[in-house]
Amino acid sequence: MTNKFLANQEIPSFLSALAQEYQVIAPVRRSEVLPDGSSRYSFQPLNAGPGDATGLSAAVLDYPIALNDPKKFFFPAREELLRFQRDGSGQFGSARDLSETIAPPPRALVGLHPCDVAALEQLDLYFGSDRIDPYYQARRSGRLLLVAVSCLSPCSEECFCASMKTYRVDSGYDLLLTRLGEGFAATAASELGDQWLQRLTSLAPLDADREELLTEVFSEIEETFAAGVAFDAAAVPRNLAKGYRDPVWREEAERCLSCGSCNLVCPTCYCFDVFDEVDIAATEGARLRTWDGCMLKSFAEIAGGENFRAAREARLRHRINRKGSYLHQRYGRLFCVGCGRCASACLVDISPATIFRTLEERYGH
Amino acid sequence: MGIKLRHFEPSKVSYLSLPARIESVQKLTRAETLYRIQLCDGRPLGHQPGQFVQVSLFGVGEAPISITSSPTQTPGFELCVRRVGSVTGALARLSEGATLGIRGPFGSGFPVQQLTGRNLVLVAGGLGLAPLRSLINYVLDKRPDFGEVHVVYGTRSPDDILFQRDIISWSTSDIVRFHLTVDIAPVGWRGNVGVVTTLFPRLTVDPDNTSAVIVGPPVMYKFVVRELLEMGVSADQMFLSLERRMKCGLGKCGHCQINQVYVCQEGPCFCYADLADLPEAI
Amino acid sequence: MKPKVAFFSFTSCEGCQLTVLECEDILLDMLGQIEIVRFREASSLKRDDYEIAFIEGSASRPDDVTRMRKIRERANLVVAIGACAVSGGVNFMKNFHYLQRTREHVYGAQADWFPTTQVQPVEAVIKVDHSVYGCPMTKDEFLETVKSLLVGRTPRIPQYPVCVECKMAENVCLFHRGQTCLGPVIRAGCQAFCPGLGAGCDGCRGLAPDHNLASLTNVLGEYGMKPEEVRRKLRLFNGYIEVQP
Repeated sequence: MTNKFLANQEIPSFLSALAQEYQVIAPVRRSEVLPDGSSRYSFQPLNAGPGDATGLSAAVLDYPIALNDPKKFFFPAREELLRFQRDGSGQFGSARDLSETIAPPPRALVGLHPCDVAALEQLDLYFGSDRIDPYYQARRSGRLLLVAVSCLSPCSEECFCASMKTYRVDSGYDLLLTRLGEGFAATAASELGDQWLQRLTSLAPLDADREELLTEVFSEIEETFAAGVAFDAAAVPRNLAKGYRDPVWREEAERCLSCGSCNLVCPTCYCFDVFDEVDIAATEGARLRTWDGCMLKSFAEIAGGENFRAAREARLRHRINRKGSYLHQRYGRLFCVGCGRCASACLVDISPATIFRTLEERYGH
Repeated sequence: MGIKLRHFEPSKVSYLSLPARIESVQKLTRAETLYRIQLCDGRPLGHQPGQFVQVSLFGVGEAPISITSSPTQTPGFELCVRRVGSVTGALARLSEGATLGIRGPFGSGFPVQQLTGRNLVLVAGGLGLAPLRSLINYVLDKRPDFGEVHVVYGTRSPDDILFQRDIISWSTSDIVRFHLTVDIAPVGWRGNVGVVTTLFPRLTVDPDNTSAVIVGPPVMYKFVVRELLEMGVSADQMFLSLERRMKCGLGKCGHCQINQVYVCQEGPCFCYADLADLPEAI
Repeated sequence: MKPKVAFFSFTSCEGCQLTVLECEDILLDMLGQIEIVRFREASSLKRDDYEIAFIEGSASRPDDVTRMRKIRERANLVVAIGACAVSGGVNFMKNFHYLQRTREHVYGAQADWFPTTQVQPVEAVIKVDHSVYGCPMTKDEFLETVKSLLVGRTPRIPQYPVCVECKMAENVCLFHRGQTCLGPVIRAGCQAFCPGLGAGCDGCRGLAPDHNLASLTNVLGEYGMKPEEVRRKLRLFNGYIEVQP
């Protein structure tokens, strides 16, 4: 596989080259500098034209974390599943499945962090196995170039990718950019990535010194993150099972605002609600789906009014167990990447990491 | 043992439903109506007792409804619907000849194979009789395959008794023993009064060769199961059907999850012994 | 047969009726589906043969209660539109002051000519079938309600708090900006309009059914807001919760 050096001053031409063939999506600044000294970023499609705030130059490759992960490009917060014609006289009408009409433009997703890549792989597993979701699949299987950026250190106090072992991923993307002084080492991780690096002839190959430097950076990454391990991820499913009736659920849930923020910013949350909308004449409309969250009280409530998870405590236990145990039983892997978005969004400091660690202390021996 | 999580050959899901025609409408009680439905293409639904369909009305939405007829009684199938929400409310305004959408059948039905050759105690509470009826009539249509059959039905009041026609035929038949109770009775009611377990002393079955199937409101399960265990029916011979919110029926939307299972996939029918794996279940 | 619809106005700024008129792009289509028999801001018709009554505003004069009851008798469906109708809204602040003093403050020397009562939301006077929230009510939610009534289903009104819509829109959390916001306890449905513009939610859509106000009060405390200030802030639109049974 080809390795090259992407000097800082070559980033614009690199993005322009991608923009010739893809709609480039990258993190852009979403806020001023906040009181905690950081800014917020968001993945946005960028205009290929020169300059302006929504152009390629707005892309930021050294950033801590994006507000929402790139899931939204494959599983939008709200999307139409069917379009239907109604019949007012007691007849069913007719409908068209919109999954067949989904044709995303070729897209280059630039700036994903390893945790985002890991999350996307988990969603692929969920939406793409057993009963395949044709909407997700149509968007995901469009022409796509994934350019990941290595994390050199934890991006926030809330992130726990060190424990989840998602601070580095070996697959699931095409190119990896790793900060090396005045530029990035660009390493290919797929055929497509390799082809791109070969085509980018203006980029110098990664010389021996930089290769060596890169190896050092990777081992520094390992060291840095190893120092941040707070719990044993492999033991999470077992500890959750043992701690099913632990007081931690009540203790944590007591201050839970039930605001659903943790669900909505989670890159591995995929639950959705399905509903209909009609035009004012009520003759046609759409069946849609929208992101939903198991922390919201209405989530498990049925038409008769019965709510199977009415207590906050039960909802919190469900969410954390889904991440660390239930889906592990189905798919043999954890459905959490330790990005810490949920914990950052939570105004009352509820974090899976704290709960995983607490349960490990109580049941881990 | 334990619950087997289902995996499928990969196939694309669809939210399109098949058009189906309402063949007849019969009001059963103040809130419940029985619909006989036939897919417009004439094919049988191909369901198992205990499965459910998603009923679709464009502009209103979809609602999961259990199938109340036995697959032995074709063509068509029956749904018993209680008017509680938007879709069921809109259904109540439809009459014979109207068409609606059907997706399914979904879920795992009652384990008919496992029940074959055994004595059966079939217990229903309230609207639970709707799904259970698919099994009761299946069993009666294949009567030689089963041992002694008891049907136990408890409901709130005489006005709430569902399927009176079936009940008359079950009560007068000598191939099934039917037991009925109501929670509240008006003056003049000559039947049993009390919760469904008050009927259990009448069940004279050999527990070793008996299986039980229970469908009712969530509060009912604990009491019925405890009683059956005391009678000597073993936990792995008890089956029940669990209700949850189901939006997709495809194991995707997440609403019906109980611990690690999706009720629309691994359920709604479960073996009671397996529920040890599902502390959230009842 | 088009359902006959009437709009009634009680104590309010009539901004919710204005919202109806702001549906201009589909107003004509809407008139193809419903027949409006009474609508003060847009028509001189004053018929009483309506089936659906949309009520804006709260009861705050002695004869308001009688008028509302009359509407309830005539209408099959009553829909409260906007914060004043749903929960008393801004009007409800009046109930925390001496009635006579408020009256004199507003009407001055002529105060005696204007009888006034404690403010009551519509549901405190008559049975309300549906509510459209917000100050003013949101256009989308009003249309969702109209369309739902036409198709015969329950309107899809969010039960969850504003945070859900903020997160979907990828707004930067106002708390992270060092500001405060009532969004975590307030019913969504506004598409997080104010937070999206960088202003904290003031709660015009009322408390979300599953709010944890006690916990949010602690959070606001960390941002320097005392419980008493939280209560005052909530009184802007939600004074009703202090007396609601």
